[in-house]
Amino acid sequence: MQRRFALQPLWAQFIKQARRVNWRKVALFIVSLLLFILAIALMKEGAQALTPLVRDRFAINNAANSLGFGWFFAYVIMSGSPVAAAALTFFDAGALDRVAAFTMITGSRLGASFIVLFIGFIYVLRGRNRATSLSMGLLSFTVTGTLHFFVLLLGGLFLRTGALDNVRLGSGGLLTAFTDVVLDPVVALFVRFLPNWALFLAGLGVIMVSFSLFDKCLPEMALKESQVGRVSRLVYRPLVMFSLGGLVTLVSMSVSVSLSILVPLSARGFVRRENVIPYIMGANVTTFIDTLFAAVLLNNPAAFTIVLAQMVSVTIVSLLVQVTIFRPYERAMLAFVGWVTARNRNMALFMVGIFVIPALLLLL
Amino acid sequence: MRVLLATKGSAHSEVAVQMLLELARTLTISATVLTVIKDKGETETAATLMSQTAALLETAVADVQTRLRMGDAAAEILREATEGRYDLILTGRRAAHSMLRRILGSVTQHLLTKLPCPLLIAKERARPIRTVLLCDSGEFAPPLLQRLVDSLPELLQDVHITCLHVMSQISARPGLPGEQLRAAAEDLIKAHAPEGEWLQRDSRILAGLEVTHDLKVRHGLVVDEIAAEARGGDYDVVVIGAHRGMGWAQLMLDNLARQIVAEVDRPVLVVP
Repeated sequence: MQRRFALQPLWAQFIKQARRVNWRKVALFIVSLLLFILAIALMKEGAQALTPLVRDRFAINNAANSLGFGWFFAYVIMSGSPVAAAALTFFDAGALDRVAAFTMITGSRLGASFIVLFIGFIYVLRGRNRATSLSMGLLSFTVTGTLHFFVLLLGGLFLRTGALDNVRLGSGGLLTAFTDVVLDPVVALFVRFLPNWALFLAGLGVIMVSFSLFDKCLPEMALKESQVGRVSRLVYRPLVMFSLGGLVTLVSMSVSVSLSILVPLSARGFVRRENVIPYIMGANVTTFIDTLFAAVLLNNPAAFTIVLAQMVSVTIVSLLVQVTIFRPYERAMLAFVGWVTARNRNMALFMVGIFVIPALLLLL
Repeated sequence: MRVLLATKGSAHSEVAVQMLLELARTLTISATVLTVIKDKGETETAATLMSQTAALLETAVADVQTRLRMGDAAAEILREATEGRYDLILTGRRAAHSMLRRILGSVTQHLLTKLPCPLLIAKERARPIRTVLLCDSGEFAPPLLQRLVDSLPELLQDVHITCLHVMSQISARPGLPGEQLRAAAEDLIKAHAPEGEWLQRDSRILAGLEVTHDLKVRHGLVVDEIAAEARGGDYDVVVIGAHRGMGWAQLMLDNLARQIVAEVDRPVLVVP
């Protein structure tokens, strides 16, 4: 008798908790995950057919022009993660070597940083204040760019020396079984109706849909100023903001989404300059989580090492900057942003620069 | 006012002694000269130093005592300040530190974390306090100005105070109204922005005490803007909060007080 009464409150609690869960978002997440896995499978199939195009037609055959290629590719599709995934599938298909795949992923980060900037630029063209519209995008781009300059050097060193080669992860039995049973028939369906080169493009499209669905799964932050306003006004230790940026982006998988999550933390949408730069640094580490997952799905341990080299390099460079030269670095970044937003001419020069540089790299 | 002067006989300690003499011109002060030694071998030198300092102070300060302690400098200063219930700790600050000292933290930096009373760090040259730059973040209760009034009301006689708030915010995304990110103090007060409210609160407190004052807002990095304002306005002392925080705050918040003390080139008064 007593035991039956004890179980009921537990069951009632379970029902109560279950009702709180947003099952629509859970379903969206599962669909997004399935689409991501499908996309990688399609891109893997199609990458082989595109190898001659990439290597011969576009002449993407060294670290410099693959950096430019990834950069421009991300501009075109306004997203970095699909380009990073594409870099891994090209590597898997033999179109790119390790270092070229690494630099193409780096290029994807630089191209992806343009997105927030582009939106700000549109606001400037519509007459809004330059500094207000562009500061965050410029900071994101500049911090990412300066960090990745050193990441290229360090990551390249890791890959050339094979320092991280022993740290590898394959897809594992469970995932392989799942893809064999569930996904292979779907991929076979695509293969039947599409030429191989189109499989890659189809995969690219599916991955973008996957990310778009994933963004819809993210919790809506509708916090009032009074709830966290004080917290958003305080100046945190750089390492704390670095960790927060990394943690938030581990969930969002996108630096631009992580930055937009900062908006509801203050009713006015303001964030402290001191907090933003380390936050962006942290976001740049875990933004590769989806690319890491793509490497696992490809079942290519060498691809996993490439992404790991990115993440480890970004982490080391970020921490070194924070521990040694953070204040001068912070001032330099903010001074540069101030210079760009000071005059239209400076802004124009900057915008031309971020198109000319990847174009020049492509020609190398 | 009971002042604890922590001295080691070096050049930066001399500035602290001069600062105390300046304070004694306008305030009624009783002073204790404290020297902390590392081992017994330094006793004689320390005793000589303290008696010389005491003799110098006795020309302007009625009640001068000396104390010698042995151990870690910061810990002993704090222990003496707590046991003796002083109103103010006065110390100098070395202009440059060795790399090891910068990593381990200076005596001043260790003092900042556990202050039982305000700490005046004398720097550059001693000067009478006539113009004060009060840097209020607005985030901690009670407000910095109220804490200053409660702990050192004598310091507010015949001074002019500039209440400064630094807005280091930028817009988190484009398209947001960003006028407040460039606004002056009056505009923020008119807009009832949080920064304007804090400045207005400080103005009411100072008006009640009949202290002449003005309100300022600067936009940029907190530490840099405070240092720039201190230099540009040629203030006699910069007043900041200790921002010790408790628990998570101490672990997670950046220690701006430490950075401001390092960057500002004139006396800094840290109020816990």
